[in-house]
Amino acid sequence: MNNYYIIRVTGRNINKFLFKCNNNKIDLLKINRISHKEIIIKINEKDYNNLMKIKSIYKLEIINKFGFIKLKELFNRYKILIISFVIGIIFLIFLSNLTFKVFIISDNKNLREKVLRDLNAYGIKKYSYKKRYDDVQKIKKEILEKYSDTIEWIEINRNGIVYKVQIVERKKKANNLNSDNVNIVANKSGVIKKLIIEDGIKEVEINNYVNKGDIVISGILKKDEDIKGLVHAKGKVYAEVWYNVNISYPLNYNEKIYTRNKRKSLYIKIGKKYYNLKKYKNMERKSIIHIANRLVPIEFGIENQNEVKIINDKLSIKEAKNKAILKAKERLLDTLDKDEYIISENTLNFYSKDSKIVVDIFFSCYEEIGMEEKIVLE
Amino acid sequence: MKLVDDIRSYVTDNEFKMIVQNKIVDILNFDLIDKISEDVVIVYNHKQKIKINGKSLMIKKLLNNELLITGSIISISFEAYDE
Repeated sequence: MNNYYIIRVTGRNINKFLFKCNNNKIDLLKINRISHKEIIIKINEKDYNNLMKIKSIYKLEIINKFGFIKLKELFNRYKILIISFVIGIIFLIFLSNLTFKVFIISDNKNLREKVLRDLNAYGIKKYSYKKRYDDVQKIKKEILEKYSDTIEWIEINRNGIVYKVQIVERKKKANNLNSDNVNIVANKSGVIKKLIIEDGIKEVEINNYVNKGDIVISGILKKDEDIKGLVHAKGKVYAEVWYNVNISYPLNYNEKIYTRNKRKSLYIKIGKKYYNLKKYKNMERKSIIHIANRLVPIEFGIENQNEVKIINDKLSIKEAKNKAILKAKERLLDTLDKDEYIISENTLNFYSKDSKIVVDIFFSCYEEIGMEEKIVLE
Repeated sequence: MKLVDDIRSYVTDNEFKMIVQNKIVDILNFDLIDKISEDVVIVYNHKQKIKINGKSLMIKKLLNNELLITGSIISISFEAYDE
């Protein structure tokens, strides 16, 4: 950075001053003559000391400075303000990266306490430093694995200085009546395909049709129509059951595909508008670190950018129908357990309506339909 | 050695030059300034005395090897002299 001084020179014989400068090899980069007795000159910083030595009767007054010396002067003038500002920013960054509260949203108090203890162990606790995005994902995964039987889903979000942890509890089947004597009944109508009996009496043969509520494995032990005892029937009942699914799918197809391109970028957010050093045309953003203030709608930070490809397409009837079937199949598979599957599917009817296609599909599934039911003797 | 001298002169550019444009005289590689006034500026190189006559002459730039004069130029005279 070149450093310059702008100096006002006043004296009786200005031409003599110019001679003096020339003799002392002082470069006058620019000379503005104001009057016979006054000029304004621009000189390099290195010549300033020489100029002061030869000034003699001439009066020199620094009007302005350029370059590093100007910055130095500004810094010296405002150093208390600048240092306070920098310390303030560092302190703000430090504070905004601290955690002041961990807030768990769940109805189950016991589970809440367990997860809070685990989060503490992982370092998500009051007055701890903010965790990186990857670490939070890892913690989520480990908690989910640890409580795989009780937690269906967990989300850890950071909102300012607060960690908000949302837990969705896994719903347990309500048909477990361990201590009582029970029958196993069908909870759906279907054709019995497989029976695994641990305790109790088989009431229905394989390939027989049962209605919802029919006893499949009985907990009543009989001999010649007399009840000899009651047991807790145990076993599994697999049957072929049927579903009629009605699903609609838009003919105008929109899809968001994540490319593998991702990067970190600095950003400034003013109001709702983002300004980035680099950005993808279409992308999803997630802030890693940010400095924000509630009073001023300006935010600075670093974010993760994931490039996405947006496809807006119009589907043919055939394509939309196939996608609708696929969607219905996916939804149905979500409700099935590992040992259950779709046996067959059949499209019954389809028609287009209001720029979407409506499809009726018949599914045949292999599914566990046994449900415990308490024995009530009359 | 001529080649070396040529290269040296090209790189260092010590040759006396005078560029005269409308109301501007730029003198490069002069030896000495003898006089500065509103009507006349006299400079020397190692062979000549250069006298610039004009009106409202002003020095706009004064470096170790360059002198920039502005003003109404009336005449420029060159006079040989022995060092």
